[in-house]
Amino acid sequence: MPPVDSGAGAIAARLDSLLPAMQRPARYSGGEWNSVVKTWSGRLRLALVYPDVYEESICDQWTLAVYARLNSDESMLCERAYLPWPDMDDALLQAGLPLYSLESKRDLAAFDAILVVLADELAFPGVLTLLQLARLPLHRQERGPGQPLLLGIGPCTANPEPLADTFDAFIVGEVEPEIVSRAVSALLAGRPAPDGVYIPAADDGTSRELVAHTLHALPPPLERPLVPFVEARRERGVVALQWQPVYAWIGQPARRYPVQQALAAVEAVLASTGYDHIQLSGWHDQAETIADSLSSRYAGTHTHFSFERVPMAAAAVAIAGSLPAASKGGITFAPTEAADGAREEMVAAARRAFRLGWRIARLDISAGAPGDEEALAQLARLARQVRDAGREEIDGQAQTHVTAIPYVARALGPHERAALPAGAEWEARLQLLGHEIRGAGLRLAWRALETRLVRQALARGDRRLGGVIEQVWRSGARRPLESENVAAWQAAFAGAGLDLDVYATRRRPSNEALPWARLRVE
Amino acid sequence: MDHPLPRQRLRITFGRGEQIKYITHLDMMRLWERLVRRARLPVSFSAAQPARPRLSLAAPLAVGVTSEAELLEMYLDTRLPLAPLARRLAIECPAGIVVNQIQEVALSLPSLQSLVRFSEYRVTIQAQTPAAEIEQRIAGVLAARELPRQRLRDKDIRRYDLRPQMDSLWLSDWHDGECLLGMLLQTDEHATGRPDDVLAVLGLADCPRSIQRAKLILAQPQPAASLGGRHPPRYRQL
Repeated sequence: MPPVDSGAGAIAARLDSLLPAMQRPARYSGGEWNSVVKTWSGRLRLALVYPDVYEESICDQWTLAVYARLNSDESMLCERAYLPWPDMDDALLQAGLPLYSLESKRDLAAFDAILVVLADELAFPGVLTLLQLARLPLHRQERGPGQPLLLGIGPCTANPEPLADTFDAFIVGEVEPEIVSRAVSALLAGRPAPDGVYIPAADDGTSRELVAHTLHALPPPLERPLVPFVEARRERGVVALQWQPVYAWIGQPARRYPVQQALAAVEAVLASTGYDHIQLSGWHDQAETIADSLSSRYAGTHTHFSFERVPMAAAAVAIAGSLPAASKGGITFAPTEAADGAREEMVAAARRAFRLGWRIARLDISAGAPGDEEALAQLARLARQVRDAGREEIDGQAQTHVTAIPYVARALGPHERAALPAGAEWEARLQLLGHEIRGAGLRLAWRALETRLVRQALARGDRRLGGVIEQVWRSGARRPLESENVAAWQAAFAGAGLDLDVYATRRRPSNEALPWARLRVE
Repeated sequence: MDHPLPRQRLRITFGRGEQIKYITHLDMMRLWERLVRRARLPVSFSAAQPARPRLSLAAPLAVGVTSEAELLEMYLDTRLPLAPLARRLAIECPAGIVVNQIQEVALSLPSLQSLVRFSEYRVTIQAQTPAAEIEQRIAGVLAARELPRQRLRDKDIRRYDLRPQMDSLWLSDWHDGECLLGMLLQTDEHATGRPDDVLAVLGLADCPRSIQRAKLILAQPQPAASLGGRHPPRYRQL
């Protein structure tokens, strides 16, 4: 495509008549610290879109890392866009203005390719919102030369079949500049898909093995994350102590950063963001060394530190408590099981946390994996014992908050073919947790309870679901929040002759080809 | 933790440009807290828990309005020479924030917010209304004894008189349908005059416009020595 500089300046000029009437207009004006604005000509131009609203999307660490990694390559530029809230959504449509990138305020249709982060199945309908606002046809067959390529990236590319009629290609596995360039060149030249790239138009889904792209070297931790001006869901810097692969659920071994590299990342994030709180994500076998180093470096600087999650062991809690200006509101554990022999030590860990000054012990648990009834009963016992330990230590101030997250079986995961609890079997789990986890000082919350089946159906879905997604979008699911309307999904499944519950939970027998059968992760 | 007494109080005059004009007052506070951390300035913290950096903005600037003369004060635990400090800030400022001046002020001065009296605005509007007509409307508005207005705030309707909030109002320039208005509006702890409100009473509310705060006008406290310690300071208005 010739470098037509469509809309540079023109959109920005018109925004002045639109933005003053919008709620929190700074979400639509860019300019954040660590955003990257490059000259437009002579590069591969990529728009990176997370199909959710700004406040949610800007906290996604994987997307922030992809943004920094792609912009580190001088042969390309990568700008961002998010889905607007309803007021701006309407205003753009009424004003006839396209969705634009925050960096240079250019029409998304002016980019060579739009990279869409597929991190949550509920955001699938939002992809169509993005296409509509970019004034692009919803189906790849209807888009032509001169229009940007639509590339899917991120966790849900493990099984992108439900979106196969929407996207030109998916980058399967990790994302770095080189694979993006190769995917774009292959598509533009009509060449076969390179390794790590799935081009739905070019094959019928069975032709050959698809090997997920892996990175040659451990990418460094993100050192310059974007800092939003508006209040976002998370107001702190995150430093990863271990590298998180894109398909986190398939059980690849953790790759930890060397201690010095992690400490350098803390320093770099503080310097590049000005945040006063750093959250360390992922645990580290040298967590104690890290905590000691942070204490000697940052004690007395009004900089707060916390671990995102702490292993449920007394020694780990002590390390978390030794972080400088440790935030003592809540400490989060993520126990996966609490067998009778192991529970005592876990309770001792929580007791230690209450003694060290934490007021809330949070237990994040997963519910609904095949055959997890006994594990859930044990976790419920654990929650009660943690509550009791807290009350013994600090009386009524102690709170134990359990968050149950419905399990979703995903491609290549341990239960990719398994039957999942449905009907009475699922109800029994709800009742077990609801009955056991209650009373003074104990609270149970379910995250994404209603939408469990929608996520599950899409995670193992095939190409037939493209029409279902479009139907749900047409019924009003323009953003992930509006995709939570389960009745709309049920109706759309029924309209396609499918049953949502059955589709989501049925066992895939071993003679049934899975939509992701060709995918391999090395 | 020790809380050393602040050693230096700085008043910073800065501009807010087009790139960043849509952020709110709270966003601006967060921005400065991050900015001084990025610049590694030894800002003092309050003794209260949780400890907050001792920064204060003189007066909120409405969303969508640019400014040439915002004021912020900060207290430092260590005295710093102003020139290197200005360089450090300039390096770390996001696009759209420009530090114009840094001056040291007495630690004993009353709080910055309590000193603010007026904002001067420059408002550019696109209107086909002739200059004479605009002059006439200005005269009418200034001659009014009261200008009752109302505003929806959360769910309550707030009624107020705009007239006393307007100190002065003038037409600075007019050519080819572009007109530049000047306004001096009350900005203190009792009331904040809004340029949009003034445009509304002039019948110019629907015109495309850009609004810039040109100046914040502070009261000048009388020398503290002449008052004795126990009396509240008195002010001489500029």
